[in-house]
Amino acid sequence: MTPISPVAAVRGLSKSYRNGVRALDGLNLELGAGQVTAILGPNGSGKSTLLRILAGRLSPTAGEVLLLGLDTARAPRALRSRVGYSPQEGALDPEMTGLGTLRYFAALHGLSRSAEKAGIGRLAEDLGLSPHLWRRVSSYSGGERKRLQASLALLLEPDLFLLDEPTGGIDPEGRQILWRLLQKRSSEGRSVLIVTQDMEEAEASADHVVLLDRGRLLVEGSPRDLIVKHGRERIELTLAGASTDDPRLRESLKPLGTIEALELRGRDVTIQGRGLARLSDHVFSHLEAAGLGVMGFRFREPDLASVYLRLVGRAGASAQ
Amino acid sequence: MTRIVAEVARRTWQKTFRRPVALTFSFLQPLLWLLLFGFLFRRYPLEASLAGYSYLDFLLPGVCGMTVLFGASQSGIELIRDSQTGFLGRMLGTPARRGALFLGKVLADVARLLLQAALLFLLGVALGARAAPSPGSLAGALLALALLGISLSSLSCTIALKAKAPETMAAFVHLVNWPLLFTSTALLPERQMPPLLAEASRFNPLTLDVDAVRGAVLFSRPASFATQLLPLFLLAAALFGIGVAALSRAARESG
Repeated sequence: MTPISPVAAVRGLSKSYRNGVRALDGLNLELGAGQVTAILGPNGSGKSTLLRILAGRLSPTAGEVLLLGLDTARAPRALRSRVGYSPQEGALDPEMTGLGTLRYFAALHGLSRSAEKAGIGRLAEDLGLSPHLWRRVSSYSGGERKRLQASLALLLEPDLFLLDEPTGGIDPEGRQILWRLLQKRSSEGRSVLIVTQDMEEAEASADHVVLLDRGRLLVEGSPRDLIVKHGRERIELTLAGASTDDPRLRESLKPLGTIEALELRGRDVTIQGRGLARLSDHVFSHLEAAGLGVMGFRFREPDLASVYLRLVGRAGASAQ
Repeated sequence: MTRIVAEVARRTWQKTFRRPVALTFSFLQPLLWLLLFGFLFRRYPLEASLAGYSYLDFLLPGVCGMTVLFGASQSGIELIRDSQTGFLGRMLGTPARRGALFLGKVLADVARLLLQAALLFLLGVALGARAAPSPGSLAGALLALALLGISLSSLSCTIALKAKAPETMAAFVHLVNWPLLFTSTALLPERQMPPLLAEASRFNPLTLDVDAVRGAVLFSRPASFATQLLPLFLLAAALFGIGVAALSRAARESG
């Protein structure tokens, strides 16, 4: 999907922390309005830093940010009423009840009492929080806290949602509901920027994907376009006896020249490359011939995780 | 804005009353001063202008000021907790004006401290302290206490926003409370203090405050606008403004 008008425009954005870590390194990005954009990347790639800068919680070291056509440095208050940011960490008061938390922030955002009441009732029902609203946040499970955080962001109905890993810790049903609610907001013309580690969710639900690594933009585009351009087939297998540091493993796979990426973790092996479908049997037989028993074997079509694995080239993608 | 102030104040009160131990301690500490000092020095001869009054009569207004001093200087601790949980950052991410957020917090603490001081005052009277304030002088005394409370609560919140560590707050509380207390007229009349301390006491806001309360309670004398209320008001306004600025700065660093 081609962005029509930018909801966020980032130019030459850099952020260095006092400890010397360079979280963002001259990032340029333009994101379209009215769509769900998933920001992906390995740990330390600058995803959360980017979101915090967009939310006005962190000052960049260099560069400029335009949100909803406004300069974040010049119009912070106007933006606070139009941008809803949900941080990765709880940022909740454990002594307050869920209902008290929602009411409190509704008031601070200037929601009318009628909008507050209707919004809380609807969201609590949608996100399965209704039975827990009167309980203190300290007694909430991790998933319930995430649901409360999501409710807070959704209740305020901002023009732009900035959500940092909102689905982490929520059960699959809750995740589906949350994504559906976000897509609904997007269909109403609101924009959603969501940091996630979940490739499957991003592939299924995002209109646009941004992949960061070491504070720089690797690629961006629709999940479909990225998969067509960068995706590769994968074989995921589990070794029966030997571990992935067994030298026979690499030796036995060497003759299969089409392998582009090899991810090893414990006894789990992920092989990625072109035309692996027709090589599946060969992989299996090569490993067997080298004396490496295979316990589990799975072939996967090109997907977003393969894009990530190929471009980032680090461990972690297939585990998400 | 009124709704935001009310919401922040309501939350501050709820959190205070959910910590009965801290609340009880903040009430008991001045009460112990009243009981121990009041009876320990009950035969202490006061200077001529206070002839006919007991040390307990003299001490009660001082302990009311002390209640506000001790309580307000700990106002910021809650902000440190909020900062550590990230809740403060979430609050500062809303479009609510920083002044309204700060006002709600400070007003809640000051209102609670005024209630504590009033309760302590009634207990002191029940213990035998003399008090004959007129309604007008009592209103001036309450205003003086409120202004001192706003000053110290604002200062405490500013330190908390800057320090972000409970240990620093503990050091601040001791660093501010004891010098302010012992260089004020809360425990002794100015004329009976060593000359150096007597001189220092004239510039001490706690002295202005306690003298206003004492004048009202013992002599039905309204607080002086020029020499008591105005300086206290200016101090409160300045420290409140600094506090709001500190909160705005914290907003930019809350990422």
